[in-house]
Amino acid sequence: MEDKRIIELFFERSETAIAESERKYGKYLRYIAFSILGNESDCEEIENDIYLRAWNSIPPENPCSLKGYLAALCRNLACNRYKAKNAEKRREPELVLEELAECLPDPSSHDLADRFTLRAAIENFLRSLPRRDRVIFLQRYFYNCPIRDIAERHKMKESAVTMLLFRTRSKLKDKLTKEGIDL
Amino acid sequence: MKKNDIYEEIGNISPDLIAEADPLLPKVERKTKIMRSFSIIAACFSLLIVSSCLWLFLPYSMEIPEEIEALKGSEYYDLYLNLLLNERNNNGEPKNNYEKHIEPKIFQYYKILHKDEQQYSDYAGDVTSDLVRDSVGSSYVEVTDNQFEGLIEPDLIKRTDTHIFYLGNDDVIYCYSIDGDKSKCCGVYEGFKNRGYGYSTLNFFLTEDCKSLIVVDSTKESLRLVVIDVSDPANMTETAIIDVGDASYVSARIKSGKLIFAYRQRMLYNSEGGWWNTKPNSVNILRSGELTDTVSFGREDIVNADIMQNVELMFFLQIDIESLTVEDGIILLNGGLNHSLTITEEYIISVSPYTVSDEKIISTYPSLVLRSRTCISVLSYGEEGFDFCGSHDFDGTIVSRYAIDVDENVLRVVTTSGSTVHNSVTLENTVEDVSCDLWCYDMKKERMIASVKNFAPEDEDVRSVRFDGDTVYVCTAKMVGGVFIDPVYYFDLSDYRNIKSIDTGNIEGYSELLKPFDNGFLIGIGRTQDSRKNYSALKIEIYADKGDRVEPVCSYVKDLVSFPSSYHSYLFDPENGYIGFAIFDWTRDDDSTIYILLKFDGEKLVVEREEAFPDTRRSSSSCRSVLIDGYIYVMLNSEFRIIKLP
Repeated sequence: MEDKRIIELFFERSETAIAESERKYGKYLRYIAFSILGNESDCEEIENDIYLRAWNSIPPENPCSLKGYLAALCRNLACNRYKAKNAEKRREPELVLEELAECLPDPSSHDLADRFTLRAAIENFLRSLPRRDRVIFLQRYFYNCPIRDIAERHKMKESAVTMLLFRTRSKLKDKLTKEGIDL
Repeated sequence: MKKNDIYEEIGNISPDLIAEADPLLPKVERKTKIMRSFSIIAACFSLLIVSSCLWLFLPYSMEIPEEIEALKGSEYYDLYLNLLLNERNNNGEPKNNYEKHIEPKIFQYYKILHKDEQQYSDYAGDVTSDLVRDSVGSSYVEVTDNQFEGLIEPDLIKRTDTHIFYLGNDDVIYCYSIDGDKSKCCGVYEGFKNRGYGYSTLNFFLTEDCKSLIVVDSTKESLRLVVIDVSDPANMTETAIIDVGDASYVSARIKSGKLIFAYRQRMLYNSEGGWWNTKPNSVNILRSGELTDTVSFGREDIVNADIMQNVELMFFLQIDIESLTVEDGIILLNGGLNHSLTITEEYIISVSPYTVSDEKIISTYPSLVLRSRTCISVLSYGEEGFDFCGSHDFDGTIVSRYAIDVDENVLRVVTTSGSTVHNSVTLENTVEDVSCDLWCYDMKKERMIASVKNFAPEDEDVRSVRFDGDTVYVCTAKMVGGVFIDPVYYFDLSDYRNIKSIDTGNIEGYSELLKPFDNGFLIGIGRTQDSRKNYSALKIEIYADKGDRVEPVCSYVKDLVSFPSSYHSYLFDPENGYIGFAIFDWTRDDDSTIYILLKFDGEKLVVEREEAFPDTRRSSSSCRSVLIDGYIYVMLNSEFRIIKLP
């Protein structure tokens, strides 16, 4: 079923909307959740919450991409669950956070930058990248894919992926500095 | 700024970027290799097909007898050759390998298939030739829970005094005889089947003469009304189509031989004229496959262009059922997808919600504050066609079409108003300044004549409404300590100058459907907390209307299930106290839909029967049941069960 039709079902408050969302994107969302949480039981627990959140937010939300919208909900819920569980093992989300810390122009400052401005800057930056670089960047920092998996998917060496991510982070840091986000 | 901020904001970027980077999508780099392999396989397959065709269809070389061979070169040679060929054809000799090896097997399979179809071996009972010749009965019997008496709503089930018609989730129409334990399937119509994923056959009407079904059918290309002759259920045949083009179905009603059909279309952008369709909308009528009539609509048919400026058109057609002619049509501009339509015995009320928004910084987070408002447009319809009665704006939103009622030109509406604060960081919506209100607006005098504002405490919103004459029941709910609680409010509108209201106090959970259940009882169907503190448990609660108060009497709760949200999916039998419905039980491994029959004896709800339908995942809303003369007939897709009541 097309995303447009599924969104219409949400607006019509038909429970079929959830069934169709689960049928179409269930596996995709479980992948995102598992990459952050690392175990099936936690993933199952948040799965219903994802659809409940979507049910409660659509309407008034009318996402341009249902897939991306559900992915964002899933990621946020998984991150919250991860923080709540306070994992001891150094997993991909922690590694990713450490890497992204490099993008902060002045990591010691506690600024009160407009979150909208930051988001807009990140989005503009991503849209300016070549498609491959953008996809790899998001697979690492949105989907929390291990470097090994990214390299395999794009037929690259792990060192090449690491170098690409390093260069992209540097460009992002320059972009944020120019935007004045550090102040 | 914290390192978490960038990580979190990456999660809030545009959804199309997120979808593009899906790691589960097929790898682009392997595309060339896959294409190369595919090309080789395709080439080999093509060669195989060509070779097979040559082997199958190349004619055998004909053996020519010596006496004809001797005539070669003479004028008689060709004549004798043709005579020989005709003789061999008449004898049925195969001319090639296809006729020798393949054709006989096809005939064999055809006979077997044809024999199975005649016996309807998949359905309950067998079809006898005597039953095939039976008619479907002559008396229409209403089984749908219509919002207004006499105004027929389409459904998945309709019946006569002798037969039931049912449309399953498999897009097949079934006809069953009503004969107690001997009931059986009399015929099927599969014209909507196997059209691919995403197309839907929605619901249907049965005409008053019981000879035709009018089916609302949505295809990839268009929205249609399909008329099917069901006078002989073994040979149900399509006889006419009303095609409105690329549109989305909204609603339909039948009253006094007239069909009111409502649908919507998105408008296309025209840089010169603003939002508009690039071509006029047409309604095509086909009879027996031939186009017999076309009705066109244009800008001049829009009645509220000076009030609304939006990107959606809402069409209304009045169709005479007997002659299948479009008697009148009208167009409203409508505010987007999130709308509802209430059709009463005299009026069509189109509800168009919209929001006014404002950006604010709340607790250092940028937030969007949305204030909901609703524009209600009213049309009248009848013998003289449609007429636009006007529009009125209300503060707030309307939960469903049941929250609107019209009584002697007074529009009665129950709304929830408030501000929704959308937190752009957590993606959560918080509702503030919530107010539940009841409005009574006189459409002839064009002024508000009564209202009850803030009838519920702060932070409660309207979950369900049901008007019953001058009585209106309203279920509201609010979250307290992570738990939904709901009171049920009861209003007496017999005197607008002195509206009385009563509430039940706080009851855990909330009702999405409310219905009077005879003898002073009210039934509420909704949700309560399950074992994991989520609101996915079904709660069916009976309330007693004591006149000056409404009290809960008993309830039935089932954990971790999904259940239908439409009144049409439930069997209500107040006389005997039966409530029948289907659920999907998340805890079962066999993907079953379960039909549950409850009985209310005046004090408690007991489970009378449970029927499992395996491998029917999430079909609860398409299940229908009807009680006739001590039997309950339950239909779910191709399954047909009969429950004999004690």
